[in-house]
Amino acid sequence: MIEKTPVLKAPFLIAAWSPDVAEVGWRVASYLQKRLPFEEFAEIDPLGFFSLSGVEIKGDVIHFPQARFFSLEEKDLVFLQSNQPSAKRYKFLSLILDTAEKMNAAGVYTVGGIISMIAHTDERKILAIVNAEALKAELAAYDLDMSLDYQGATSMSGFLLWAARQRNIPAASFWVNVPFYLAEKTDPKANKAVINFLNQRFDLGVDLDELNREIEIQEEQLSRLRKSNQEVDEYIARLELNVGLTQQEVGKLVEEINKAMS
Amino acid sequence: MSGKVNIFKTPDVRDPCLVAAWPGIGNIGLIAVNYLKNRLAAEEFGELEPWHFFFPKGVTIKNGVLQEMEFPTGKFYYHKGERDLIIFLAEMQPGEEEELYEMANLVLDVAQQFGCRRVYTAGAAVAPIHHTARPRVWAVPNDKALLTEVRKYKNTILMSDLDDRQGRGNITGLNGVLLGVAKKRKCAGVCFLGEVPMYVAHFPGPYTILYPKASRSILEVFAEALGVQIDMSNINAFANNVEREIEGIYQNLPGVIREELDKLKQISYVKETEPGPITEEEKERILKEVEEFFRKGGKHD
Repeated sequence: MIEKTPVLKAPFLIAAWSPDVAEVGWRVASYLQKRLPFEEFAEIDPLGFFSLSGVEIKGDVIHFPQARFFSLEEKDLVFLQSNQPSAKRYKFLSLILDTAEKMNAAGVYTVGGIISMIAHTDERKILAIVNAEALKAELAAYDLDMSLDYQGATSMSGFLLWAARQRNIPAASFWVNVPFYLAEKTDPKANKAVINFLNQRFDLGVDLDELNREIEIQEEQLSRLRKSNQEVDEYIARLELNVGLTQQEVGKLVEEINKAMS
Repeated sequence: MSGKVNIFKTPDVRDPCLVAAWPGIGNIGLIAVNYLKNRLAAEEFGELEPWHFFFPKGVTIKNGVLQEMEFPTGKFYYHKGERDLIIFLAEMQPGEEEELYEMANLVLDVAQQFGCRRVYTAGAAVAPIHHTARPRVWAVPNDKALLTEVRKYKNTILMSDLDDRQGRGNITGLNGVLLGVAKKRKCAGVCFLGEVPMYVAHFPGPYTILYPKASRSILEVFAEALGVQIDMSNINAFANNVEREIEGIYQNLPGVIREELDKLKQISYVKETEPGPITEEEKERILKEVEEFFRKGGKHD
């Protein structure tokens, strides 16, 4: 449903999903919307794509599935902030790509998190996957890992990349690594890494102060936990040294972090 | 026809029957129809565009570049013989009602495009039978006019033959919807459901096993209904192997459960027989005990 037609030349459309690891994409989209004059201009009606037999309550509040498009005319950019549909996913992706084609989009990006065996003190890196070899040259100037070899399960972002390729639309997905024990929480360091990349890529000039404060608060919180809980400290120290944890230790660390950060 | 099907070869068939299957309980129907396709060396001639119905099952990425996306397939095959056949095999059933209906219509569009006037689907019927018994086949036509015909097939029963059913029941998923859509189009069809012992169907998690004996029963009915010769040697070997596997699990069940299940050897839930020594309450209790046994890791107390 298009409510307003923004004035765009050849924008990039960036999709962010929820659920996502540490809700990275969603939080990045929200952070940018607060700081830049994004305007909502269209949405996908949820009927047929989401279960509408009732509503979900999260954090005491009723949630309703959404898929909303926001434009930033001055930077020729469009953000899609969307819940992941549970039905007719190809049709849903087709609607997104129809919108991209109508806007004469130069490309489609997705941003999100990927669970990793790293410590929260480690640097966040962004893994990039493209749907055409030629795109790699365009992205070569940025600090991205574009060397992934993988065979296995895929995601909405992967499906979108494939569907975009069927229409010859260049597309890339950007995955920032998130420590597994923050996957259910928030990872401001991961959010910052993605915003840094978008700042560079689209010259957004977004202020990172609030994210830096969030990082500081979280690091203090985790540092206090390490001091008070020897087991947690040992596990994180091992991750910092790139020494793996057993399945049981992984479970224990997640449990302790969830308890401390609830 | 909508652009969701690719037909890459025109099948040389005359008045073909459509035989269709997809995953379901124990993959009974899928094993039977896949076996039929292989034994008849049926040739592929088309496929559904699966992305309209299914989420991808896997992706291949090389050096950061997306290479291939793999989807569950839905393929059409044909066989030219004593009776020409169109066979449709899908690796999945759509999860949503609307997509089930759409897929059923697409499959029938293809079959009818090539002159099909008769449709068969196949699946499982969970029943209070013993695993040593020969599974019967429940035959459910989509038109009353077919009742006399299906009654003639050996080892089949109708819903009205079952105790307390009064000819009623339901068939979930594509097995039912395809025949419903066929009925709407005035195209005759029958669903064949091979019996699976209720306790085998309830073997949980790591004990989940296939039940090719039921698939074999369906194949026997197909041979008669379609008038085709089917070499059964491979499925016989498969069924015998699985039977030994089930027997192994069965012998590990606590004696008291085994004794209850042994009663299934003597009873029949089909009408016009003496009442069996096992009641509905007992049936539920046995199933609970079997589930509890496996929940404890398949070990005795």
